[in-house]
Amino acid sequence: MQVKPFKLVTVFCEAILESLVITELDELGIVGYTVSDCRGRGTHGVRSGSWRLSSNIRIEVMCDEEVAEKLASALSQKYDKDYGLLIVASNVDVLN
Amino acid sequence: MVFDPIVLFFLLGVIAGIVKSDLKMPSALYEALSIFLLLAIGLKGGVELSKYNILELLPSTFIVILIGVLIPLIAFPILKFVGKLNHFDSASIAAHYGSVSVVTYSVALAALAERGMTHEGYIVVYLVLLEMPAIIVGVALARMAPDATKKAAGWGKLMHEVFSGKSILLLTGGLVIGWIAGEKGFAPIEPMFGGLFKGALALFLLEMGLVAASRVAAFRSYGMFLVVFAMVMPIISAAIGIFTGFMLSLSPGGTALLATLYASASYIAAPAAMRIAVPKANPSLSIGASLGVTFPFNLFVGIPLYFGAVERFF
Repeated sequence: MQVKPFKLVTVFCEAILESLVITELDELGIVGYTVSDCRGRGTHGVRSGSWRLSSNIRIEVMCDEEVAEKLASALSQKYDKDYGLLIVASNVDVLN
Repeated sequence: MVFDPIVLFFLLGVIAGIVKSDLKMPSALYEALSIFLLLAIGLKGGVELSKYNILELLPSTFIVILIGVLIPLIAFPILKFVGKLNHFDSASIAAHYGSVSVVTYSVALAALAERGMTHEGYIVVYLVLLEMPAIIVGVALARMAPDATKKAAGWGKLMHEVFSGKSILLLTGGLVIGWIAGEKGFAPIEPMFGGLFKGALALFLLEMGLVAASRVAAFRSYGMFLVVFAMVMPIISAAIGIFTGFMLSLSPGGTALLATLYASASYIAAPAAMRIAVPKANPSLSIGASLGVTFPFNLFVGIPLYFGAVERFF
């Protein structure tokens, strides 16, 4: 079986940013992503998820390192200053 | 009876929040209730609207929207020059106060029924139409800031957020369906959307109380000005509404409803639109003022006050 190395980029952000982040994914040619609702606490305080304005989401995408860096810089340049946003990446092997 | 019993559900939610009860409305129920309320209001309004000639309503509708544009333009200088808030926060809060609250409108509808007052059914059209203009004015004001950046999302994104948002979609959709159905077509679904309305509103208010309570904790950081503004601005807007209703020869019930609409501040559509269009505005200020202060103020003080004023005036 051939194992392909990829970057798993996870974007934690305000739920309201969903469509804007997905626009960025489209522009970079990233075809697949997974969005899940989440709640928790960070530098912007408690995000209780009780209604849309206090909801967070987690967007996960898999791509190569170059695209991952482009995505991270595009998102942080546009949204890091004014919104709750955290971007992390990890190395993953896609098994199928 | 001063308060409609449904507003006591709001109080119960606030108490539950303050004592840190484990009461939590599942977000799916919150979503379901808001969809139900929006559709029910739209449908009932549509049925009423089918009794009128739409063309005859155009001039008065135009005036009502014009006043809707005027309110954020009154609020903005007060916020910026009296309250010394920054340009973006002033614009965002002005938009919240110019836009309207569906739930406040619903409570006013219930108050009308309680008092046995009738109103012009087409007021619901104003509810739909008044949601947007103030948001547009608010964004335009924000973009006039000397240091406004061009990085913010474009108008297209904003318009999509507002128009495709479920509140406009469901209100307008319900309105059209109700209008096509008319009284006779609505009768079979009336038990669902008419009879259950007030009970569903009570449950929704319980949730609103919980959310509002979570904002109370942050009161100290708002500063006294904003708290006072959040109580005085609705009275100014209601006074303008009563005058407008009088000029348009609305019935007392219709005038009270219009006054309540102008007095209400948005806390669903406007915050979402402002968060996208004016990212530099602090959302906790505007939501804190509109949901934490103005919404309960309107429920307990405002609506009885506006109704009392209309009854005295007419």
